Amino acid sequence: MDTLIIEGTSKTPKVIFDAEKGELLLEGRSIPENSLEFYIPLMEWLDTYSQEVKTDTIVHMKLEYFNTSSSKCILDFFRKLETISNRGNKISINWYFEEDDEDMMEAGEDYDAIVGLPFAIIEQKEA
Amino acid sequence: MSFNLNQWFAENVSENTLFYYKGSVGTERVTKILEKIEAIMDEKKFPLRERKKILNIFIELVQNLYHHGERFEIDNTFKSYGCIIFNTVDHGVEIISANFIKIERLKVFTDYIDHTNSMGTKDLNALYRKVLSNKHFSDKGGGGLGIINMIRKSGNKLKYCSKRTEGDNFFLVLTVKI
Repeated sequence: MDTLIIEGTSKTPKVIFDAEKGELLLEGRSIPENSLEFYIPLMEWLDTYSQEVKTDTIVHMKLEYFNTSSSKCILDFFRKLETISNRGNKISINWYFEEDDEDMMEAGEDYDAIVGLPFAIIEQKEA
Repeated sequence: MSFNLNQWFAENVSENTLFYYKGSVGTERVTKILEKIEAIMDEKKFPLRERKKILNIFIELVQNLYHHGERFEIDNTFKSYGCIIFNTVDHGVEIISANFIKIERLKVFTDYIDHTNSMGTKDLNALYRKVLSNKHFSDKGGGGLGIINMIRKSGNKLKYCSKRTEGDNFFLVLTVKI
């Protein structure tokens, strides 16, 4: 299965979904006016992945900002992963936030409370 | 006396204004406004925590104008129109966002602000999770999630006022203090 790679922009995150390694990365900003349009290819990739999961899956969420419409798309993304997990596949989420960014930490806690997947909320110190 | 947009705008821009914009709000304009706000905050050396809160609320307000700002007072053929003003105030900043709105949407919107403003932190967090989990949620609007987010992130209640323009049309002004 092909790795999904999408370069990040000022409004959309970098995406690297590597099926072989079972590592899915979303990094940067998710603030497009039309979030649904951006997330459709990601959801389609997950549909295919769900049929071919070969290893444990770790999702790295390294978001700096996300807007309201993205928040729903991110939840849908997690829910799809939850469905894959319910079929006996091990999936975990690493939710990163920058030092002192309590809002992003709380956002991770919100998803953790809603979605039935193990979340690690990880503070990233400035280099 | 009838409502005058230019007069309202002039009255709300002052020597404490860091940024102001009045006009159509398309995708490129949204990007430019957000870039400008970041540049201003860099220049003024806003602390990271404050900078993130401000930009988050700007994203919410400017994209709200993009999705819902109407321009029927000026030109029936054009949507996505509004005003945004970024002011320094005592112990912080305020963002003023304003747009034209039909009376039927105004009531729903202001009732929702009153409702969320009345909530404590715990109830607000619970409401956020409930609305986020709600399947009835369009890509255009967040079913009130944006309002909840702005109160949570700013730590302050939202202020609003509206002015009748003509017929059943209003000019809605929303102020967020951070």
